[in-house]
Amino acid sequence: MAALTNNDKISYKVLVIGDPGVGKTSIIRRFVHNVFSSNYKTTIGVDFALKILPVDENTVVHLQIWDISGQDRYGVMTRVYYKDAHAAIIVLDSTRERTIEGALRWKTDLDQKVTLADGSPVPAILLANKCDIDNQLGDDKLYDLETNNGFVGSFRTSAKESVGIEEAFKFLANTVISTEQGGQYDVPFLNREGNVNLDDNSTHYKHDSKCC
Amino acid sequence: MWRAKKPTLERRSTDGRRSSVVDWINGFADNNNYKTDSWVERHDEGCERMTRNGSVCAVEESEPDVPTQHKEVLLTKLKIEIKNIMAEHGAKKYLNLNSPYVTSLCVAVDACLMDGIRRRLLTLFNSPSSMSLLQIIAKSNGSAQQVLDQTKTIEEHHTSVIPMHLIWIREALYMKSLSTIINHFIDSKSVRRYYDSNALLLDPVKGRLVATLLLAPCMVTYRRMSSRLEQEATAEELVEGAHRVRNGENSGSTSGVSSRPPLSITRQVSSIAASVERNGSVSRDYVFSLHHSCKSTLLYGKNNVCVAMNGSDFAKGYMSLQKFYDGNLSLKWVPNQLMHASSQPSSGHSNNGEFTNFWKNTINIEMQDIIYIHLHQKDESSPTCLTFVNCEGVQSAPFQLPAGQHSISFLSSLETGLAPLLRLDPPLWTGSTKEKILPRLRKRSTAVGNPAMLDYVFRLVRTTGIEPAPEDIEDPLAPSPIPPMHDNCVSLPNSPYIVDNVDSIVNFQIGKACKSMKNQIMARAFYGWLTYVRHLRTIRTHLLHLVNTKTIICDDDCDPVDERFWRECRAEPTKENEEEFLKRVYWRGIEGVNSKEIRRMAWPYLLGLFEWNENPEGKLEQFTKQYWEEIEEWRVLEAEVRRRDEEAFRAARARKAASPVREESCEVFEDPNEPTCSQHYDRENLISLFRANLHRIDKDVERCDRNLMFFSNKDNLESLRRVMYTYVRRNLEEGYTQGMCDLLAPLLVTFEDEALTLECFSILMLRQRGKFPQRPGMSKCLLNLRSLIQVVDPQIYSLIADIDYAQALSFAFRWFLLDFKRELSYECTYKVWEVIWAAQRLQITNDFAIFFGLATITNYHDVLITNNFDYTDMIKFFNEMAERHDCSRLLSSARTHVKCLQNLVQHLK
Repeated sequence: MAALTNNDKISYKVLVIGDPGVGKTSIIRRFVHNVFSSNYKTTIGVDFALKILPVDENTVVHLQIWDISGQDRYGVMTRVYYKDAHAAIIVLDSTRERTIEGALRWKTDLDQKVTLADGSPVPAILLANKCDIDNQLGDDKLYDLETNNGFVGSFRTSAKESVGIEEAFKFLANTVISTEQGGQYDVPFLNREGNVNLDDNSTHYKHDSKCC
Repeated sequence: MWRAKKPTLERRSTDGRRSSVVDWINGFADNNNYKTDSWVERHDEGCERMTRNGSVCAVEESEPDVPTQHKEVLLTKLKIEIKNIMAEHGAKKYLNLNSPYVTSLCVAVDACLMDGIRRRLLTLFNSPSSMSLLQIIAKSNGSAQQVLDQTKTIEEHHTSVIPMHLIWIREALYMKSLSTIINHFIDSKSVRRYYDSNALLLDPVKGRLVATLLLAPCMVTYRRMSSRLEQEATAEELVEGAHRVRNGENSGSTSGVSSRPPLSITRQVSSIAASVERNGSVSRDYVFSLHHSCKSTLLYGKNNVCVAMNGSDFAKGYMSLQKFYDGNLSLKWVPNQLMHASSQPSSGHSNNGEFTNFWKNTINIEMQDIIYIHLHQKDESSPTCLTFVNCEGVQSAPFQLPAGQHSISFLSSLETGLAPLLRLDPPLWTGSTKEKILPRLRKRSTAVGNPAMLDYVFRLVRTTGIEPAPEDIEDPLAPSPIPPMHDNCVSLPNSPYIVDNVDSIVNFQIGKACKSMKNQIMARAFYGWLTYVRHLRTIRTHLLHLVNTKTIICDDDCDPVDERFWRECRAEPTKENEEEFLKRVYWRGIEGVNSKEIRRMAWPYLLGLFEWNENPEGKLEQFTKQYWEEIEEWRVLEAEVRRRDEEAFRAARARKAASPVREESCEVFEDPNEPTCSQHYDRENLISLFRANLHRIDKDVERCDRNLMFFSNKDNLESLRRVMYTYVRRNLEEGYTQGMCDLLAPLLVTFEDEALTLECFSILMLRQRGKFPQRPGMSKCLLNLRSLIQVVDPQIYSLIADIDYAQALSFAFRWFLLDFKRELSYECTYKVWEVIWAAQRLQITNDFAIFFGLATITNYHDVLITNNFDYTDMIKFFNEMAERHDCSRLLSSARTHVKCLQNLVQHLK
């Protein structure tokens, strides 16, 4: 695995999942655009955003953040969304205890549907969102959730007040880089060198030449 | 980052890459200070301000107080944002005004401006924010007034990218006057009144610093682009780009997939060269083929070989002689510019325009076509010229090899390569030291003035076993005793006596050309027919059921349904005008002076809630009565649910850190405890189920189209909620799924009557629910769409053919779930919905939505193909295009698609 250099632009697919209304879209909007509104529409299907994150002086990481609808009960689309994911963020609502359980269910579901090359789970962090409002989740409880369920990290966040989100994503980016350097992503990187895959073009060309 | 003095000096490793100005802004480098080692000893007292990396950059007498620290924090944040903007700008010529960097900068500027502001004074303004300050100075300051006007204009078409109160900052940046405006704030007595004495802006140093720091961002060129994505082109730009390409503005550059090349045999004028395609990847292959590849052996390579191009200019390039595995020798030459360019990965696609000239001049000579090689050299120290003459008598441009042994090494490599089938005549001689030399002339040229001139003509002949005596080379016109060497070419006549050979040569060549063209035509016809047959098979197997051929009406010149027509229909409802009504809706939609009013009356008939000749009064009364009764019933349940929620909330607070007890079913996942459908719920199960759904509905109602005027009124939101609760209570086994509110909202906006809305919504849901998760309807839609694309637009199909259908068409999931409600504005949604419903009533097709989806895709054909989208690009593109489609155009395109398929199906039957 080559060391990442200045010119490396590798796109990582990051899933953001969790129960409906926990704040997935808000977190993403805050991170990518640094804005917050209480009136985002319910996410239907999938939406995604791109963010370029400098990790250190020589490296930038392109994150392809997938904002996945909170309620797709085993629909035909979940396998599409999960495919080739590099990392995941699971969000719960600190003010609604039910969403804690929901988060764990999402984690289980994720681990069943997608893994790394060696079978280990995709690196996932847990975000306890809406920490600006009255908090029902104690620190040790959050820590327990993290360690007992295979999360690589956990953070308290507030999309409204812009708390904890930068750190969470930076942590995730670093985790992803070290996972990649460990050779655990077996699929070729997405979108290297600006979306153009030379192999695809030559396939095209060959196809055309067959038909004169 | 203030702390008491540290006794050690920490050196920071210098990073030469960063410019010192940027570092200074960050406080990362202090060019003045860190060189001296005695720095520490001099300052034994007081505090030092350290940077992130530990180098000291300032010293104060005592620890600064909280407001000053706060000001420092604000300033640092501002500096970071400015640094980001400048870094972004450094990479590009201009910056997107809607990019998140600009938004973050505006946030930081606003924070600086609002520091220490006296909010109670500001409340006198309509919208208290930093914009109020702008309004204060606008009266006396021209540029501020301009910004204010511009902001007002922008506010009218506000999109959600940037919060309202920051718009003026962004506009001031765009108009490059932000810095001067802030300076005015500082100078203006009226503005200063609004600040506390320790506000950032009033600080004698820091206030001005803010304004000065903003000079740089003001100098950046911004462009207003309608999307918020940074480096990727926006959807609108892509669409515009596609328009331009279609209109021929970019005729020079290539598109991703080339259309069929014309039938041709090419011959270039000045050299014997095969035509070289301009496709980027081929150019790379070509250049790589100049090096050793698995298909060929490089026999000889020489750089800086000059070749005359276009008359008199010479270009230097790389010449190579390669032998292929099948024995063919070929000589290639490529200009240096192409060699250098092709070694960069990005050159393949974007630079074709510049390099077409160079491409025209590459040379590729097959040695089997060559008869003569001329070699000229003025004297031993000047460059050698090689010219190749082929069997048709055409000469290549002269290759100029530098003086020295190069020509000899080339010829000897050539000789080696030609063996065993061909040979040079005369062959190269072996010199005294066993190296190859040029054959010595028998007769010297008697030309005066240049006795050292060396001219040779070599012939390529087939080895026949006879070793001809080295001839007098100055007499190339002597008839050759050696038989012609190639099957497909004949030596040029050496004497004027052999004339009839010319005709046969010409005939032969033309025959060859015709045969090749015939093959190409046949192949094309065959593949065209094969594709057609395949399409018909697809239609027969998959798409027959999509349309009904009973009614193929072609009445696009009928009128829309307007008030007058509707009155007529209501005055005397007949079967004929029902047909007419449906036809009109399908082709032209409902359009009158007050379309909303017509829809309110006409839709229930269109949906089939009322019979055409029915007077709805009675039914409406009944619906309303039933509706409010049902509400009464579930109010009780709701009260219980709220009570339990309250209890749970208090209990959770008390517990706080304890593990959660599962109180009721989880929202998303299948809960084994969730009560399944049964005829008579016991009360506990009922409450439990109702409660889960209530929560889901509440969450979605809160977020449903809040930007719409209608739903900014809380009462209307309550109506929405009531209708949804009632629907779900009626259909508890089905429950609430996200998206249902989106389907309900347009109906409520149109009817404004809850009971009527509920009834129409129930009818709509009968159709839509098949597409909701865990039901087969969505897969069917996607598969049908895929088949349609295969038949209608093979180019786009080729983009998605090899991918799983759900993945390839995942952008269409939201389309079909909500019948395009999220993709279109409300007005457009109404138009599309009524056509979908009319199509079903008219029995043209039950799945007009799929054709509308097809139309949406084919409408952006150019964009998709030119940019070679993969499925993620498509999701992004179509998400961005939401509410930007030209729905009238898409509708007529969809209707055309329907008609086409109807014709095809009819033809098949």
